[in-house]
Amino acid sequence: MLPVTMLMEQSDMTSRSSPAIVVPAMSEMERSPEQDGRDFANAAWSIPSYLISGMIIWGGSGWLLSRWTGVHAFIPIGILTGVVLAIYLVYVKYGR
Amino acid sequence: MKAAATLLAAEGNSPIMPHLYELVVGVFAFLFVLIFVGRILTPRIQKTLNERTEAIEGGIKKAEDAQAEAQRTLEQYRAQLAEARQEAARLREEAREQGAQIKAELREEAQEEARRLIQAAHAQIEADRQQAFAQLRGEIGRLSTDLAGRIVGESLEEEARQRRVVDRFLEELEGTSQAVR
Amino acid sequence: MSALTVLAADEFKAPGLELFDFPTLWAGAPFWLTKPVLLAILSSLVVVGFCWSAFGNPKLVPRGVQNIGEYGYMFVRDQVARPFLGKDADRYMGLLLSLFFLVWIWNLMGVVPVLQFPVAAHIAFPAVLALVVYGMKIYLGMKHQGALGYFKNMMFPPGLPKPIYVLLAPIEFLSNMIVAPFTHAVRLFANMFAGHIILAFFSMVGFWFLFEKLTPLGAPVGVLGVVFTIAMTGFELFIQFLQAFLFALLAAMYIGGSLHAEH
Repeated sequence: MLPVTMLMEQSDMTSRSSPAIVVPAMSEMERSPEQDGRDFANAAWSIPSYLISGMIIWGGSGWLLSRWTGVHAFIPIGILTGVVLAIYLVYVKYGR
Repeated sequence: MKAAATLLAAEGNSPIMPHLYELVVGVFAFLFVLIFVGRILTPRIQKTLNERTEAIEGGIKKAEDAQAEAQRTLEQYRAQLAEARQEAARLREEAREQGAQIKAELREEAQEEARRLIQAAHAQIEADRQQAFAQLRGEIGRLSTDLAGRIVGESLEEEARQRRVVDRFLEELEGTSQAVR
Repeated sequence: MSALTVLAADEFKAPGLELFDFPTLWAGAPFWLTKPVLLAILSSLVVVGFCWSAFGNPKLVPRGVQNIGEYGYMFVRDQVARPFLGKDADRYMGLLLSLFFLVWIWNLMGVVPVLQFPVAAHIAFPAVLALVVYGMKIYLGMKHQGALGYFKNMMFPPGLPKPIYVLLAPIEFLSNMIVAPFTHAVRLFANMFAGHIILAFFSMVGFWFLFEKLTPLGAPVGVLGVVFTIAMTGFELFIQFLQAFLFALLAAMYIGGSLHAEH
């Protein structure tokens, strides 16, 4: 993978050939509207991923628990916990 | 559908399971594109785009310079024009003043000349009169002597006495003419 | 399907997974030389050929193919790279442009007459690209944030009571390390897979009821099939572009997230 990643990233030589003109335009992008847009996009794309992950992790834990105890209710409880935690995680990362 | 399922089972491939050979082909297909497009061609177009930005900015700069130059020239021209106008006005004024001065001088000169001529004429006239008067006095004296000699019948020999008599006569004459006047 | 069987004398069979199984190109060809492989190679050649004619000898004043190529470049730069990578955008344009063009051409193969198979409908191809991006994401994350810092920034958003991390960190890890790359590949694959089935279904309806078994009752269904084939082809063109765009966009997002820790 390493030589491949070296290929992806252009060497400093070529990126330096993009001179000062690009940089001021870019530095403006670091400001709030762009940053907000980026955060919004990140959040929007993260939510499904977090929801799935939450359901797998805590639904899976519930499933194990139900296998161990024989109480089937742990499966839906686990899945719900996962969903709630995922939403909370999105709030923590992007909502505050 | 069932046939498809059996076919699937027979070949042991599900759509979510990648074929190994396709993974290998995919890697090479991507590397091929990445090397040519990503490593060789993208830097080229980036370079061109940057050069274009520079060229455009340079062009704008050049145009601005040209405009400034034109503006400068225009102002210079205007200043020169204004200066020329001022100069012309000044010259005209000067000429008028000079003309007036010349006219005044000429008039002065002419008057002077006239005065001088008149004076000369007066002097001439006076001189002529004096001369005429003196000549007349002599003439009258001689004539009167002649006349008196003839009338009296005797020659008045003595010059001095003769003159005295004439002068006296003339003075009397003058006094009467003055009184008449 | 029962409604269709009533209309047709013989049974109409809707296309299924067999659409995605290909024999070798000719009998006796090497086992790996199938239509998707051929199309994948062809796509790479098309992309490189196009980019070479567009960017091979770029002019300051663009004309012809260079204009089109620049549209593509500007689109990827302004819509994909800059919003997520900011000042690092130019560094990764090569990768993102390659991804976008290659995926788009792969997808377009689905509507090119005769070829008619979207390469990305075989999961191996999107998986390769997603794996490459995944590898880059981890490599760059460790390079820019430190091996430990990368995982710490990822799994432990600051300012929470410690016990909460026990609940959240596994979700973060699973989401970033497994679900995200998986959905990255599967989103593209599933869209192309479903699109290909839909197109195949409608065109088969049209073919079956208008050519194979032309009946007075079936003819309108066949016409409808043709109309839907055309409409869905237009829709697929849009989806193909959209998925190529999203694939590149997510790649930029993952790379951007690795370059700078969130908050």
